Amino acid sequence: MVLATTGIWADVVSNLACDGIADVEAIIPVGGDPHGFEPSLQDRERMDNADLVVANGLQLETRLLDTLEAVENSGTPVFAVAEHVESIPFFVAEDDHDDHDDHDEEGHEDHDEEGHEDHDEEGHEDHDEEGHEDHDDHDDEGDEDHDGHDHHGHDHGSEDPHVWFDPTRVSAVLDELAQHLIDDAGVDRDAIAACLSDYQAELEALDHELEDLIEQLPAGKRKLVTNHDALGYFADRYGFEIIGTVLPSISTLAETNPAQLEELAHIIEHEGVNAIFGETVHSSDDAEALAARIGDVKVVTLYTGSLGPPGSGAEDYVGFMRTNARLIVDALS
Amino acid sequence: MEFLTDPVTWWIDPFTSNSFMRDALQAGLLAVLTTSVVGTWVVLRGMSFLGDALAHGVLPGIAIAFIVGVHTTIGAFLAALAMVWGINLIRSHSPLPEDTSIGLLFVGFLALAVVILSSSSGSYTGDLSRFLFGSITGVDSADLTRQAVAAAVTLVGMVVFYRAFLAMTFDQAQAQVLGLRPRLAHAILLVLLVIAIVASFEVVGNLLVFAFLIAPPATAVLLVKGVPRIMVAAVLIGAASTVVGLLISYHHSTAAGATMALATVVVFLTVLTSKSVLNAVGDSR
Repeated sequence: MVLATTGIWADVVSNLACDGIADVEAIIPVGGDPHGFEPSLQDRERMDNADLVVANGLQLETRLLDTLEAVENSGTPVFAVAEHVESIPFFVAEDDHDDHDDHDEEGHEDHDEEGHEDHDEEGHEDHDEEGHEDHDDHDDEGDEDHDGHDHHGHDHGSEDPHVWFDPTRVSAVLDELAQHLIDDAGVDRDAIAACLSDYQAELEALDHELEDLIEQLPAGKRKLVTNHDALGYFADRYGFEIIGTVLPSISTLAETNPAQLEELAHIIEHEGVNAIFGETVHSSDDAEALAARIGDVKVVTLYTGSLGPPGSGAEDYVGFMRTNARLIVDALS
Repeated sequence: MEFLTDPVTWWIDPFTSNSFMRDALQAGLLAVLTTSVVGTWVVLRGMSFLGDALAHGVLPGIAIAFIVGVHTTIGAFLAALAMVWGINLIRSHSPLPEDTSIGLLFVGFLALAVVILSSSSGSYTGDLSRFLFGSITGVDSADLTRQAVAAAVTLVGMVVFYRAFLAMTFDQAQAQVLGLRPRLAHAILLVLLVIAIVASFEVVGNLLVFAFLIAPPATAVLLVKGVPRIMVAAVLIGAASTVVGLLISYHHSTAAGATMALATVVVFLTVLTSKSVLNAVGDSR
């Protein structure tokens, strides 16, 4: 039995171990917020009895941290996926210039490494349209920042844990994940090799599909205002800019404050953004209130930390990404 | 009804087949031992509100320790001591009654913790909630060692200062005459209270610490007379509540800390009701 903390990773793992070559279950139920989920003693029992626990890591599962640590100490291997992915520091509202540069910088690096040449060109184009000089001014700074933040095990919560919003990053970590399934869960090497290449091909197709979809959106409209800072990797991959978040944090457990909301309202009006993206796992009250105050702005609910219920179109990872991308493109067009 | 029809499966198996259940049980029992013994004085001296305030007063210390990067136990301990000191300071410099000075610092410290965490953009606000509810599903051996040391210190302190605590609780003037220095005794009791809270809350959470601090001793006061007996009864009642709460939580997937806290209060209400009924029956004869 392989247990994944979130339904998103459970779906990814069960696609990796296709045709049921491993039993995979999620700990956090559909609709549950991974930031706030509190485990029961039975959850602990399931984790202790599992062959492998797949967690997101980078402190996403805040209230599972102690439990995951204890599970690992008692002998169940725990694989924290996001800690094996090239991560990005999270967006900090007060400091947005530097951060945008970080995103851009990293975006380029990733694309290069993965060898998608067309991505590179697109990336550069976006870059130019958004104002070349501005970025150049900050490039060096951005680089330094990036180096300082990117090492694993750096300060608590300085890296964005929401890595699943970039399918290429998910695809890149699958080899390592497959190795753990072989070593820890006794999955057959040949069987998983076939699943692995199939699923990586599916994720690559998904990536192209999302790119084509997002291409319909003019570069100037690729601006996101989200409930909490969950879409950093999506923005990084598909050339969006995150201009602000309702909750000033990488976690849904934070509270908002009036001055910061005021500033956000100002930014939204100034940038002419017509949608604020709420999320199924968290109340949209603050986002709704903000939208009502600005007027002419709609709140669109995305699937962020959890898959959707059956029939929502977001009940598996690929559908989740597709549904979110469609919701975003429709809202911003 | 499985706990009656199939007692071994319900009561015993969860502990024999799961090491984490044994760890959780040990953590719960050590917390009961430490907090119920100190809590007996808290109940007898009418210091419950102070106990509640202290259980939350540790939070800004945790927040600062978290940001600075020292162990949260140290931060919690210093914050609780600062709160005790602050309460005495307000009381001696103002005409206000003690509960007002406790209340002021209670809300002040709690708010301070949230403000500190919200102003540090690099850390997780959510971490505070880990301490509010504890995480008995994640007990490790370092937690158990810390709790065992605290339990030992508390028990030794109780024995050494027993006469002083007794005198200041029931006869301040007499204590003065006997040279037992009630003010010093009060200060020592507060330090023991802080130790009990700090050692227990990371595992069982603030909510349960406060429940253990007052509910078992309060129940014991209804049942027996004499401070040593009250302490023993409180520990036994707390231990029983812990076992039952833990098992209910295990079998029914309810939140462990809250289930145990609820068990202590339900036991109190059950004992109180039974006693009242028995008294009424006795009177009518």
